[in-house]
Amino acid sequence: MIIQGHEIFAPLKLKTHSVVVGSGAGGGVAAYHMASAGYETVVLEEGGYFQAKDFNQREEDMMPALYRGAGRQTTTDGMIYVWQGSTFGGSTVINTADATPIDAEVLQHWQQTFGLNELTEENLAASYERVYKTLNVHRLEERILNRNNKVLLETANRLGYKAGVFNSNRKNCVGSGYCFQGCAYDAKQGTNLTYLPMASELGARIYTDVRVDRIERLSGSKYRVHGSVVERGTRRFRHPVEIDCERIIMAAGTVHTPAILKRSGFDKGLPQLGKNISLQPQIGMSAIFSDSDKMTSWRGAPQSIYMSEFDDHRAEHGLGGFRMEGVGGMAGIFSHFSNSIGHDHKRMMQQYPNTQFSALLVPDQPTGTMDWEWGPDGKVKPKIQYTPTEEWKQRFKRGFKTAAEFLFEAGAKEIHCNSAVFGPITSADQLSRIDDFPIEPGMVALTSAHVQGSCRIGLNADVGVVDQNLQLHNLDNIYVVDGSVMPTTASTHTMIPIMVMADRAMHKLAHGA
Amino acid sequence: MDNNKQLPSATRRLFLQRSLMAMAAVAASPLMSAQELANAAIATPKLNILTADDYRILSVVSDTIIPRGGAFPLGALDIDLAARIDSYIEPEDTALIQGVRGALMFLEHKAPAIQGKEGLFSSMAAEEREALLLALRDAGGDAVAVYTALRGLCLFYFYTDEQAWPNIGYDGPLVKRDRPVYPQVEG
Ligand SMILES: Cc1cc2nc3c(=O)[nH]c(=O)nc-3n(C[C@H](O)[C@H](O)[C@H](O)COP(=O)(O)OP(=O)(O)OC[C@H]3O[C@@H](n4cnc5c(N)ncnc54)[C@H](O)[C@@H]3O)c2cc1C
Ligand code: SF4
Repeated sequence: MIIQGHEIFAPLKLKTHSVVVGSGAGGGVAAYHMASAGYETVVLEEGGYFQAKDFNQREEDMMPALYRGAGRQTTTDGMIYVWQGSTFGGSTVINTADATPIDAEVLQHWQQTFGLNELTEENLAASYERVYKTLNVHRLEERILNRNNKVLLETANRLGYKAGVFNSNRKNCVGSGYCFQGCAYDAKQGTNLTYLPMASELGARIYTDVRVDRIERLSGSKYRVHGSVVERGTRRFRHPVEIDCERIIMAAGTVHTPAILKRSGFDKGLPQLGKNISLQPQIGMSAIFSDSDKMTSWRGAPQSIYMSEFDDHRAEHGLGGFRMEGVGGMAGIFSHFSNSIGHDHKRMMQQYPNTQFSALLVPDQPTGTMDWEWGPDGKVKPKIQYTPTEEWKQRFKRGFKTAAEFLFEAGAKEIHCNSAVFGPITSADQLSRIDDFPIEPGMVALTSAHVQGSCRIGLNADVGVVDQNLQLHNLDNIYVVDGSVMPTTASTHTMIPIMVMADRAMHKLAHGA
Repeated sequence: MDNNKQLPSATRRLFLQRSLMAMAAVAASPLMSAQELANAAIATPKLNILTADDYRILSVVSDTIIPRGGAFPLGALDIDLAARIDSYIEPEDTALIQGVRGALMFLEHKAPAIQGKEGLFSSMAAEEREALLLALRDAGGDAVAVYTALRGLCLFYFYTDEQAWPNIGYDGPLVKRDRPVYPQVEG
């Protein structure tokens, strides 16, 4: 059963066995496993309940409806946009449905560096099988690939570079191109269409527009969840919520799960809470091709092809190097990609159909930290502190140069990026300008769609927040199953890694293996 | 790129952080005088958030960033971009509101001095206004925040407007729907 906030007209008091906080990648999987094992389960989701019929394929409407802070959540210095979904289905509603596993080198890195010997490919295999089946993961069909993406593959093939087509969790995709605004065709198989309806069918009660504020510890390792029914959109407080339960599964995402734990006073004895943040920052690039070479970036599967020649994944450091991926479909946001205004900018926008958009992804090491403040209305204000390391900056510049060179090789005439101060590169002999590229707040807008690490897995409370079964080190019956548990960035895309880790832990908890 | 010397240090200190939100710091800048307001040529529509003053300055800024003519005839004033932006700002978003207001006040009252000009941004000729915005961009340091923030706001809401789309060859959404409805509940 799905109960929306506006259907609640009085304070809500419940008793249940398991409470799942958040309904995204991790929360959806957890809710399903708890319900399938017969536990009375309540899911609490702060965001609203939106369905295919609500998605109007417009950035200015869907970002406020579906994204945390309307898509304007940033690091404290404003340099990196930290994108997260906040709706029934969480970020799985707004992502581009690229399905990538945890890289083998990452698992080796976790074993060697953190001693996580239970997280092996072998131990995760059954979870991959279950998750892939539920999400219909398969290689993207040729018919929905667009030229915006294919140009990467063609160029890579010509240069002998590694590149490929993504696996994806879609079903009957019509290639509309609007994944970032929610799928109006119910093709993208997020938790909103898979795990959550399955859990509901099995008896789970899913409340939307209900924010969890804090957790109170009762005697005998039982808990009381304190929350608020909030108004959709404004998220203003409407009614108090109290739920007594035996088990809590946190899946509010990397930024909000540790905030709730901290506000509950559970951070004592967990020195790693809110630390070890990786953002995997990326920069958007646009490349103008000749008038006749139409990219039509906004149609077709938006992010369908990658060029991975410069991935440098190793057991010593996990993910490394840099890679390019095609992106597409957002005139509003992509209009920022350049440093111009006035008639120069209008001339550039006129070339939108023959402009190719891609992202340069540069994996990082987990160096960020988080803290939070709470307003009088109970709303949390995250402070994400993140400064890229010198090593990362150098690798970013190398990646930017390589990507620009690659795009010229593909036929680009002019290359821009999401920096309002860095002017266009109009020929390969200007690439040395990238040496002075300003990776500074205010000068460049980077994006993170993969924030991870604030409650990382570790063998004990000195080095981690949860154990390998994703249970909190310092309290019984509280689990964390979202992106926050990743010790380092798990993959170039994080939905499948989160679901697989959640599946392993929750299947074990629910079914004993 | 990092030539902060072009920006007086007093102005730089106005920016405690670089993001749009952080521009609330300059929101306390002096408001327009009644006389200046009376001289304003732009008629004010019904506004949700912006004051008539904010609206008038934002209209001039938007006209500088997306002027009429050139590659295509449509400009920001043709779609009343400032009113469109106003309709999308949520009253709860106080940080954004203060940020926008601070950026507008800074641009209107303090920025012209950077180029040694007297008077208000909104009374400058179109080319001078563009030159001033570009000077903020090239000044480096914190002045860039004003440029980036106002530019971002104007471009985003201009190019998400359907009237802009034929001009850039974008055929628009495949479904024709209004904004999603947020269920109304008692206060
Ligand atoms: C724009 C975008 C594109 C992406 N593209 C891809 C892709 O193509 N492939 C891929 O693998 N990954 C992608 N990702 C990343 C992936 O979707 C996320 O890493 C993943 O969904 C995160 O899962 P999660 O469980 O940690 O949190 P989320 O899925 O973000 O869910 C957390 C939920 O918790 C809710 N919540 C937060 N606080 C509270 C509270 N106090 N009370 C109740 N509920 C709360 C939130 O509202 C949210 O709905 C993308 C992400 C974004 C933002
Ligand atoms: S491209 Fe496919 S999955 Fe994405 S919104 Fe369109 S139909 Fe849905």
